[in-house]
Amino acid sequence: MNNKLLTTTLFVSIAACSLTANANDTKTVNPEADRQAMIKHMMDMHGGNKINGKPIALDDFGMGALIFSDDAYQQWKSVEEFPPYVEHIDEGEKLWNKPFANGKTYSTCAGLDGDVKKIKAKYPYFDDARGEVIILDQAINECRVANGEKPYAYAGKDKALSNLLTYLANESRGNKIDVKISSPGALEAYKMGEMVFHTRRGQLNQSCAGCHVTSAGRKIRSEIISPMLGHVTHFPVYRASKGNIVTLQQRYQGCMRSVRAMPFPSNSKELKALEFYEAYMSNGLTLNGPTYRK
Amino acid sequence: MVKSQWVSKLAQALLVTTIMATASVATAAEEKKLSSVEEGKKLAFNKTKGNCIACHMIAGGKEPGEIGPPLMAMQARYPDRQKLFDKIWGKPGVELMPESQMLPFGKHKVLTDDEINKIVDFMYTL
Ligand code: HEC
Ligand code: HEC
Repeated sequence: MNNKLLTTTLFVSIAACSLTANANDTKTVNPEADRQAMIKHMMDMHGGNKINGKPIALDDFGMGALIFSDDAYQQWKSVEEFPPYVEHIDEGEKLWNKPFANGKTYSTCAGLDGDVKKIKAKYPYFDDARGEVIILDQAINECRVANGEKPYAYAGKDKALSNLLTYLANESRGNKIDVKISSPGALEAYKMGEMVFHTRRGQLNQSCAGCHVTSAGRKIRSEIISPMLGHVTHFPVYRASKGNIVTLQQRYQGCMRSVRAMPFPSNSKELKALEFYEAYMSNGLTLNGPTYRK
Repeated sequence: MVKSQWVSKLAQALLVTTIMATASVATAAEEKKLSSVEEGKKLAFNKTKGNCIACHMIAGGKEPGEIGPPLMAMQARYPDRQKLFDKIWGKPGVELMPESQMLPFGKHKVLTDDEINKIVDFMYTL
C-alpha cells in the first residue's frame, strides 16, 4: 500500500449500503442481482419523473442530472444545437488518422482495429491473460508505446488524449454498454470497484453512493446530483466551467477532491475498477457521449 | 409649531437615552453571545467551513440543498444543548441513519469545538 492510498483510506469507514452485499463475502457477490437491485431502486425513486412531457425510461438515465429538471434539459438542448465539443471531435479525428513516425495508425493495434464505430463499446473490459481491467484511455497509450510513441498523460492532463476519447465516443453513439463478468478475476475487479464506490473517504466522510445513489436527484447547494446509472454513457463531457473536455477519470478524481480526499492516481487499479463497476451497472444503456455540461 | 417640534426632539432624546441605558445594562456575556450567533451563522453558510446550507434548508441562507432535513425550531427539538453539539461533532450513536451523509465535523477536524459551539448558538436562534 503506497502513501497516497494510505492517506485516501485514513478516514475510511465502510458505508452500510443496503443495495449491495458485503463486498468481502465472495459467495454472496452477484453482480447481476446488484444491477437489477440498482435499476429497481433508481426506477422506484425517479421513474415517475417526466422530461419533455414524457415519463423517463431506463435509457434516459444516460442523460445524468438532466432528467431531474426540464429547465436544465431545455437549456442543454439548445446548447447541443451548436455543441461546443465539435472542435474536439475534429481534433481527435485528425489525431486518430495521423500515422505514427513508423507509418502505422491506431487501427493497427488489437482492440482499436476494425469498425471505428464499435471501438469504445468494447471498453472497459477485464483482460484475463493480463489479470486487469483495460480502459480505452490505456489502450490508446499502449498502442502508442507499441509503435514507438510517447504515451499521453491521463485524466485530462493531455488534451490530445481527451480529444481522441471525444472522437471515439462520438463515433460510438448508439451502441449499448455490454460489460461482461465471466471469470474470477473479473469478479474481483467488480468487487474492488464496488468497494471504491461505497467506501466513505476524505475529511468530509462521503461515499460516491451517498451522493449518486441515496441523494441522486436532490440538490446539494444549487446543483442537482446525477444518478450513478448512466454515468459512463456520456463521457467525455465538455464542461463550460472548465472551457474544456473532462474525461471520466478526471471527473472521478474531481469528486474525490471535493470531499477532501486524495484521489486515486490516474489509470490506477482502483479508478479502473470504479469505471468497470459503474459501466457494468449501466449495462444495456445506450452510449450517448460526448455531451455538454455546465 | 415650535413647541411641538421641541416636544418631539425631547421625545427622541429620551428614546435614545433609554436605548443606550438598556444597552449598557446588557451584560458582557450577552454581548459575546450576540457576536457568537453572528459568527456561527457565517460558519454555517461558509463553503469552506460548515457549509451546512449545502445540505440543509436554513432560514436566511441562499441556495439550500436537499440532502438533510430543514434546520428549524432547533431549541424546541434539541432542548439538551449537548445533544445538538454531539450531533454536529459526530459523536457515535447520534446518527439518525447508518448511511447518513451528515458529516462528523468535530471528529474529522472540519470544525473546532469552539466553532461548533458558535454554530449551536446560531442554531438556537432558528
Ligand atoms: C458530496 C457529494 C458527492 C460525492 C461524495 C461524489 N460526487 Fe460525483 N458529483 C457530485 C455533484 C454535485 C456532481 C455534479 C452534478 C452531476 O451529478 O452531474 C457530480 C458529478 C459526477 C459525475 C459527472 C456526471 C455527469 O453527468 O456529468 C460523475 C461521473 C461522478 N460525479 C462520479 C462520482 C464518483 C465515482 C464518486 C466517488 C468517488 C463521486 N462522484 C462522489 C457530487 C458528489
Ligand atoms: C453532506 C450533507 C450535509 C452537510 C454538509 C451537513 N449535514 Fe446535517 N444532516 C445531513 C443529513 C443527510 C442528515 C439526516 C440524517 C442524520 O440525522 O444523520 C443531517 C442531520 C442533521 C441534524 C439532525 C437533524 C434533525 O432533524 O434532528 C442536525 C442538527 C444537522 N444535520 C446539523 C448540521 C450542521 C449544523 C451542519 C453544518 C455545520 C450540517 N448539518 C451539515 C447532511 C448534511
